[in-house]
Amino acid sequence: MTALFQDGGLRTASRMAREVDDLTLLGLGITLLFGIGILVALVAFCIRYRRGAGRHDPTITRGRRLELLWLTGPLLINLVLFWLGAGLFTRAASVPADALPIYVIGRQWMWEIQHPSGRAELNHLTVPRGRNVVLQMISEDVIHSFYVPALRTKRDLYPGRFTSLWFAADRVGEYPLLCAEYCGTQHAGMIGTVRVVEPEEYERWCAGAERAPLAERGAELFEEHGCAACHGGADDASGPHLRRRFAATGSPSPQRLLRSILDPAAEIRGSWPVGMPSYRGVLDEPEMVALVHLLRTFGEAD
Amino acid sequence: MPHGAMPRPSYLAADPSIWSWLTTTDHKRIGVLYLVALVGFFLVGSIAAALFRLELATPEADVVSADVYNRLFTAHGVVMVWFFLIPSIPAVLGNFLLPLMLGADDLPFPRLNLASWYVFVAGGLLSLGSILFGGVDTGWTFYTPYSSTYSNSYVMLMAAGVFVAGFASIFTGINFLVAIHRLRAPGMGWFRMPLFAWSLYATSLINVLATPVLATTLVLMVLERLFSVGVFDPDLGGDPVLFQHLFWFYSHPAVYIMILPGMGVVSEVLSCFARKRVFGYTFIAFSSLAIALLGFLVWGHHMFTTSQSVVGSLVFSLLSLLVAVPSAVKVFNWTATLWRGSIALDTPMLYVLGFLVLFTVGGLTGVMLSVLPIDVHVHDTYFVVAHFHFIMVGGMVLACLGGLHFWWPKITGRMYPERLGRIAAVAGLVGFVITFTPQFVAGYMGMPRRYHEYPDEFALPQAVSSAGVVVLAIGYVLPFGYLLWSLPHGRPAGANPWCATGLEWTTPSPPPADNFATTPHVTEEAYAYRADED
Ligand SMILES: [Cu+2]
Ligand SMILES: [Cu+2]
Repeated sequence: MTALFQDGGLRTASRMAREVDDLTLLGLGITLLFGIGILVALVAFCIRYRRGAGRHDPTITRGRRLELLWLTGPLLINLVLFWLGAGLFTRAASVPADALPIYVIGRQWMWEIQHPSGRAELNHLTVPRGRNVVLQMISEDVIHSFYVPALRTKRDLYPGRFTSLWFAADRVGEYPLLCAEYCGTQHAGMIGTVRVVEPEEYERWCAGAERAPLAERGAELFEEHGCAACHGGADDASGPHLRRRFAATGSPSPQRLLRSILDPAAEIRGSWPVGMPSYRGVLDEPEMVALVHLLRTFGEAD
Repeated sequence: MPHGAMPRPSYLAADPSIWSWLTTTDHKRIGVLYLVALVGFFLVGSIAAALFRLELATPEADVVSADVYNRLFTAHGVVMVWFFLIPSIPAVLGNFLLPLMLGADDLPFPRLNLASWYVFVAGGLLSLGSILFGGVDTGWTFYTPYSSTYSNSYVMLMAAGVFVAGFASIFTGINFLVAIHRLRAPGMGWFRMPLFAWSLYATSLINVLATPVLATTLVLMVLERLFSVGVFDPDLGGDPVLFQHLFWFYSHPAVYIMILPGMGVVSEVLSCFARKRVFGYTFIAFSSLAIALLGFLVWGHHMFTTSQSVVGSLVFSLLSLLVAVPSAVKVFNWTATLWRGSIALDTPMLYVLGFLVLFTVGGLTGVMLSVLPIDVHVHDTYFVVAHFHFIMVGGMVLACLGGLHFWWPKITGRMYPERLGRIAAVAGLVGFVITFTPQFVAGYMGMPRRYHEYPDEFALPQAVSSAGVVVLAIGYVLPFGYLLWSLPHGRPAGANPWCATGLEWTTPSPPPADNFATTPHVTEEAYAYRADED
């Protein structure tokens, strides 16, 4: 286990992580300022106004102006903190359009990573330096949380739903990857590394895939499970031609796509002669990942 | 004071048989029954904590297995939250003192009050049973689908225990609300009530309104576990995040159930040992209500890393930062109370001063946690663990001990040894700081909660934290010893050893079974302390 954290301490691997640290320093400054301030005031008062010091005046029981001051002071400070936090959070929540999708499947107690190239990893995530990366994550069982302290970010994984997390790592190196949501016996063992490499090295590494690219596997599933019959563009099809439609409108988010597959009644608009059956329990998570990735590629301009 | 009236036996002397205690409807005896039960639960929760802190002293898993560790922290959380912190001050000091403070004979529904103790003990026994049979490994938060589908432990029994104990909170809450509305002595307007009563009023509102949501949530979880009714498990068409919404809709307000009564104690003790009316009484009274109401609107701050919408998270962040403001004002007002006071540093006062510092740090780290990107990094790490222990232990447990020392002479009629009291207060404070401050560091470095073994880089803060427990334990064991010792050997306290204001101090110590010989009339504001004679 020691090997994962060779140089110890908290390292920093993205610009956003540094911005989080700045916010923390501000928060810490405020905490220390007021914490020490209160401590000093208490000690000073306890000495100066100790019993028998002859300074007792029980008639001082309120001060409207003072109270107004220490009502508005914290209020303003907190509003500023909210504003700063909200800005960074909103940026962290909006996935850049050009982000490279990588898929994460969490299960008790390991991380399975699927790259579009077909390359797969266990408990390691390899990403190119300087590139926006978006993780599309799903759990096979209970809730897990993908946590990379060096990126100062985490995101929960749920069964039956995609959640996403994007970042741009800007320093080559190996950083701890931890599970932050309690998930059972080996929760503490659900750890790994995020490996940030130069973009060229990432390309080279991807080329060594031992399996077919993700979209190709998705296309096989598209045929195998009969998706193509309704969504492949045949004249008598009872559903939209997805490749053509997504090419025009762009693909919906992985989560919306997954919901359309698992719970079609909730997502389908317009009137079609036959309702689509649910594929809940039919597809396993790696298959969901492949299929959803295929549908995402439909929306990419080529 | 009635002179020449018949001597009335104290509530302790009235009928000392066990049967009479177990069937009592006297609010004072019920308070004492709660005290006995809570000491037991506190012991269980503390032993669990001591064991897992021992495990955490080194990075390797060398004391207990992962499964045992998981059961220990779950037992610690469940017992401490539901069977110690939530009832603590209200059920012991509140039950004992509220009627006395209001000038009443008893609570409005004395039998309901007794029922609350039995319900509480029954819930506690169910939970202890589930621990003894093999324990629960879900954490006190019972997150689904782990709790409803995956965990192979006694979840049902534990949930049943918490469910049953919830009724005790509701019963006590109803009693307090009605008492404050209906049983105030002539002349005691709302704004002449002690602030302790205000804090119990706010607490009771939350107890009555929020506890049913927890009960419903646990029932849904059990239905899913037993009959596969799809509510939270996505495989059954449910939504695991829904559980978190429902759970925190209760459990965030529960944080205020756990701290508001402590704030009430602080107001009482501080004014007495500074011999001054609490600075800005009205504001403190209203801020308790503001905290109780706003506290219902911030539950989503536990879910910034879930699939909660961005807008939802922004709103919850803003509201969480707003709810911190009334607490900040309270701290400033309490500090200002000392200004031009006549301050004596007796044991209760030491506890309360400790509360002020630790609560300030706990509150401000809570402000940091309300700032979205900081929370995303430290959510579910030791930073959060440290934060809420500063509030729960540094705040509530210190307030609880401070209050217990303050009213011990009233409850038992005996004084405890003052010097030992001060030593214990300081040991508790120092031990706490050593134990929990390093956890902020471990958390920011990225150490997640609920890890039984951990990478070496966290070894130093975790080792210091475990070492602090030894000092902290002195702070708990000492009072247990000398308070028991004081029962037979303590110096008789007299009616009002602290020269405090408040109707409870006008009765003999311990108070007679029927409290007041004649209904008191209130002619003054609360905390009408006079200038020093010297
Ligand atoms: Cu986990
Ligand atoms: Cu909360």
